[in-house]
Amino acid sequence: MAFLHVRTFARYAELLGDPIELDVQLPISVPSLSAALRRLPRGDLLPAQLLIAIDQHLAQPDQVIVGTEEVAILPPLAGG
Amino acid sequence: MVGPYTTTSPISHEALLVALASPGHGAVVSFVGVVRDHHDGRAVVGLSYSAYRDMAERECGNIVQETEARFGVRIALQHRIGDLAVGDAAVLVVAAAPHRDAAFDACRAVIDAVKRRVPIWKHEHHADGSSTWVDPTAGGSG
Repeated sequence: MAFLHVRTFARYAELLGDPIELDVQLPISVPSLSAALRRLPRGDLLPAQLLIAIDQHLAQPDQVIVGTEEVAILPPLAGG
Repeated sequence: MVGPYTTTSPISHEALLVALASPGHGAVVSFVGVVRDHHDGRAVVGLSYSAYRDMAERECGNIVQETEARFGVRIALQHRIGDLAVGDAAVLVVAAAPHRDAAFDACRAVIDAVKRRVPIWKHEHHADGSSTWVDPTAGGSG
């Protein structure tokens, strides 16, 4: 197991704090990261389809995180 | 136009018009998104915008470059971050082109892409003292 730092913003920062230090097995797939986040206290309030950014790009479901990336979870975008 | 695309200072429409001025551009279209006093039937007194600033800058730059290449236009884009009052400009898009069709189309394409792709969030402050995070996926026009 290793610690993965996950940045949070807006509503998710209020819910979960920022950043999150997540104890997970690396590498980890995007769906597995999403599931691990949803197991956190109040993580059940996150949507099933969670927006995840890896190195400032929206992650694809088949991507794998090795632990050196900048990882963030994004609430529904509301600019404009 | 190059960044920065996000700013904590009031947006100057005039400055962006000057930045895009060119003798070959006979059509200039602007879209200004302004904080309104209501949303989903509730009275709104202000909005607080926050962002994932590094990613927002990167994504705004991508949108500007893609739109300039697609429509043959020049684009200026700025989005406010921080606390805004009703009537304040939250986002400004300016598209300059030789002719109006491309300018209108490009301006619309940019603001639609900003709403869809840029990691910015707004915390809405209501007249009754409560606040909520705006979630466009939950309904309403954002």
